[in-house]
Amino acid sequence: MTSDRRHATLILAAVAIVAGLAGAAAGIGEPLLADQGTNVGKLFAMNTAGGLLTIGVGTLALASGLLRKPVLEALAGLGFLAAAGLTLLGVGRSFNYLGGRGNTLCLFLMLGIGLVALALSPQVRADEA
Amino acid sequence: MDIGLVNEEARAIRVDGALPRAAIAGVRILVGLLWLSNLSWKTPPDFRTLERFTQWGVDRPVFAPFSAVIERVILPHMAFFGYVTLITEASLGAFLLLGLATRFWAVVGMIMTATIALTVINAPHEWSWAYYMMFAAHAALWASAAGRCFGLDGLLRAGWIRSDLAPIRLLGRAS
Repeated sequence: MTSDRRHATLILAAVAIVAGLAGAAAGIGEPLLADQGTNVGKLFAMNTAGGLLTIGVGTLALASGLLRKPVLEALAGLGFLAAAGLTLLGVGRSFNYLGGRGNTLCLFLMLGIGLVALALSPQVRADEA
Repeated sequence: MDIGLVNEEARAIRVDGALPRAAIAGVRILVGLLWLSNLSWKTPPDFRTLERFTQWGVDRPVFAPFSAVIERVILPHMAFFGYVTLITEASLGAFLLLGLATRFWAVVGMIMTATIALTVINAPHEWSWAYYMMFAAHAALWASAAGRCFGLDGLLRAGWIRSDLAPIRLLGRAS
């Protein structure tokens, strides 16, 4: 993992952890699995479970960047893509376990696709470039 | 003095400085946030609010053939087109925020903007210039290959264009 890629991973991990903390904090006092999560500004919505999951997977992404482990990075990316799938299936329905909306789907997609792209894209050595 | 060379020099654009690159990245991120923030009301399974907006394309037509498509194809299958809209706009937000395959997604953004404008531009209280500016912003992202400024395209593109796999090389072209 090059240092540029590591920085990008750490930025995505930080975005995830901050979003998760904001989502979990906004959901305090609401049911853990409320099917309509609380809005965080006008950016996204999630319930406490969604916030905790985002913090957990974001921490995995953070560990992948700190330890320079692309496998962990890919796993974190797949975790966010699974969250995006769960949100797409659940939004507007009673089994919306993460309390997300369309914009939460966008957030999870961004984190998942970004981490998977960083983990799987071929690397170029400096002498090849 | 070669006038051709002087003109060429005068027309040259320098975007390699930190400030121009940050400005390009800023526009890209703002456009990504625009798509993200407008997803909150596109709610399955019936997409009722989206359907109400789509109905304006029939009640206040912008372009008669497109209005006929809305009436006969889109509105009767609103759930399907609602999901297409939701997934496309969520992807637009995600890819533009990341700066990944940015030129491809900027073109998708232009198509999506044109589609929305052809549906609602004549609706009450709509400001038509918003759609012209939205289209122009995507055109600028395409023209400046905005993902190469503080985006994943700039970070990963060298590996994509040297890859032996055609789909990966395609990412290089889309960036």
